[in-house]
Amino acid sequence: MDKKQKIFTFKRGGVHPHENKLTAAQPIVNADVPPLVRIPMAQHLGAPAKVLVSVGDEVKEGQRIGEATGMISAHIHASVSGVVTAIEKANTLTAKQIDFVVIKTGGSFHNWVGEKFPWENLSSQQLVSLVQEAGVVGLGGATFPTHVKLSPPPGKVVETLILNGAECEPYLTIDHRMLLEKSQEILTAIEIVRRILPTIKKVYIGIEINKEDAIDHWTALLAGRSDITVAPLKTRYPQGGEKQLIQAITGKEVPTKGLPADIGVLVENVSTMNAIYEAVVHHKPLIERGLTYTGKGVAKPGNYKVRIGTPISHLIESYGKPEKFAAMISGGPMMGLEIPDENIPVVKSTSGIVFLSPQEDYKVEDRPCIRCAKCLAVCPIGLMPTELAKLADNFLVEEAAGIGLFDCIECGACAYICPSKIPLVGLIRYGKEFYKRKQAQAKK
Amino acid sequence: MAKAKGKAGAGLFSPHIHSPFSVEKVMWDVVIALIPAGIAGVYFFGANALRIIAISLVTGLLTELVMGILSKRGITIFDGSVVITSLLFAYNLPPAAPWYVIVFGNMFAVAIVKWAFGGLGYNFMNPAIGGRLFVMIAWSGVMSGRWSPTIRSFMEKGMDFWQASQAIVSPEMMTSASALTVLKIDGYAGLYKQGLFDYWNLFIGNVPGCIGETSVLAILIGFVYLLVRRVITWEVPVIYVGTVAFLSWIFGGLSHGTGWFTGDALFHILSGGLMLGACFMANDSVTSPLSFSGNVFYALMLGFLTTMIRLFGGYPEGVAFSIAVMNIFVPLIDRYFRPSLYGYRRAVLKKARES
Repeated sequence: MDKKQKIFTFKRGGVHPHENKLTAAQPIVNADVPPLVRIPMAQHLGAPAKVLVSVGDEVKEGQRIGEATGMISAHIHASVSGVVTAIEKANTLTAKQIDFVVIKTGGSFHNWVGEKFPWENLSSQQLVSLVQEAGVVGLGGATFPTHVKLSPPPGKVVETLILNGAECEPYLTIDHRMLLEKSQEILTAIEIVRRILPTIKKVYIGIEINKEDAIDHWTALLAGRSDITVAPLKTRYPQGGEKQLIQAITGKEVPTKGLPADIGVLVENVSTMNAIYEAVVHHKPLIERGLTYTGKGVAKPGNYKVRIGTPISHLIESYGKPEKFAAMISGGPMMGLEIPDENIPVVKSTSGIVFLSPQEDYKVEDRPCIRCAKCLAVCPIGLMPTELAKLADNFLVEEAAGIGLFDCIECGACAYICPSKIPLVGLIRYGKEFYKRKQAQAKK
Repeated sequence: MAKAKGKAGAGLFSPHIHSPFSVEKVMWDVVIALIPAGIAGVYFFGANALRIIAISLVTGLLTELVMGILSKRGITIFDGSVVITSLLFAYNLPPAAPWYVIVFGNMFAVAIVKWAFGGLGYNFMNPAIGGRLFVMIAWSGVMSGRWSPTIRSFMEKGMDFWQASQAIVSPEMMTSASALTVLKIDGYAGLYKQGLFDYWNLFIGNVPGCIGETSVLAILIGFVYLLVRRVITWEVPVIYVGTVAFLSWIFGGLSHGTGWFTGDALFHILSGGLMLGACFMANDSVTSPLSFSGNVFYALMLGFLTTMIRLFGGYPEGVAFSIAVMNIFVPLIDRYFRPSLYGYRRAVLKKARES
């Protein structure tokens, strides 16, 4: 990396946890196909999909088994060929009582990469419908349906495309590997997105400087091009948050309650770009995703390509788990969700499986706040987390909403730094839910 | 497994890791930073300083133990906060302070100012300041009229440490006044006559005063340590002291008939309890505002009040009073001084509406 390059960063707050990128040098390999997959119908932000198959049906790899319902939703596809053995209700990490389609693996594999479809002559409408067809969602963790993102509301002109390769979460390395191994695919995906949104003038690729090889690789790749630039980012959490990334690279702020499209910006995660490429060029639906399987004491940590619906127990059989661990996290340790049982399947949002040792696990102590104001200092939004948490704790949610309760991005920097170990994010999230419930009741 | 009691325990929540930063670390860091001032106190005021610090610590720890158990919070003496309070309270006493002043003053500070309002994190005023004000009002004779000289001058005459410690608290010696008192009563002429007008002595602490507040040098060492350890931020102490210096320079000469812009700013910031108050009490996290802008306003007001009391008030020293007054204003300051939020700038919102 060139020492003279300007390093971008967001303006306020942030923390620097231990990076623990144990698997940064491990190439992405395919994980074994499990004997049984359980595919939930809610893997995206928005309404759950409607089941299209019934018990006993034979399904082919890539066949649509769940249909999007409503405006913001995404299709679900079978990740393996086989027979549907059950359709059951179960809980995912984020939703309760969701339909799961259980498929017993059998039958043939489909060679997706074998055939290439020409896309250069398609209209932007056709390209978006290919992405929609493939059920692509944001793979950074927010799982917002990508086809909705790619069709901004009328009147919003997108001029800047930012690729999010920051990967500011500790432990996770999958986007780092994507940047190194899938650079041609990502470049093609950039062309596809520019075909869909011809107003895009400038493309940035944001990469944190702890991934020097990725920055060098892309700088070499883009030598002599002025329309696509690599933006080295300071290693600071939450650098990869959409709002922070936009502020770091363009200097602009997304208005509150607004979208990046309001200021002419579109942010896509690099894994999502790869999925867009596969959807358009190979007509391959989103049936597998890369994830980082890691943690101190894991036998075979690495970056694996895993079929959607693979039970986590199957991954544990293949790659081991530490003898003693305090928590199993889906996603990164700062914003991920704890996995309560091993039957939970890998879904579109699972960017990693992280095992945390008892020493590093967060244990709530919930002692009195000493008003040290560290949480104000690290909040990237400029909130007063301690005030919000106190108000939420006392059910004063209207007052909390007045001082920015819903601007909280739940990045966890405040709870990470809090010397009293107050579960600030938990309380703020509780306050949000309570406020919504209250509003809903007021409407009745 | 992040499980909290109460509302946050409704579900599992992020984050799942925590920084190596805890209440104990903060508190014990402050205790470490207070040690140099204590050593300076013993160096200049002898065994008296040791006696005051020891009595204050024992009283504070016992009170904390009793109050913690009475409040069903368990044993809280290990979090270090009561050690800070006891040290600060001791540093705010003159070398000849009798035992009952130390014991009841610190009991008031810990039991009433801190525990009666809910213990750590809920006190409305810095406990050490509360204790100091209590004893200033209850035993005002002891607290304001009886300053001892330092033991250095006696040791130069050939006395050893213990003899000098005895000598400075003998009744015939306790007539010398603190620099600010002399300034209040006799002006600069009085200071020259008493030989108190010496910047170097004021800086290292070789002047009559409370045991922990005279040595600016020792206090600055602790202050820099806390800054390096990132326990405190610079704004309150720096702006507070800066404001006092600025206002003393403007108004300082008025009461001595030399006119505007003739005050001796350096003398004012080196004397009295200003440095100790600014570096260790005004910026006590519990009783200072949260946001940067709030802290700036708070520090400006502190400087203004301190200067006004010193120059035009009834007391020679205004640090404790101004900190107490501003502590009470903190909830109000928190309400009106907030950090600016991401995405709320008028220009941002306007542009969003237009597009």
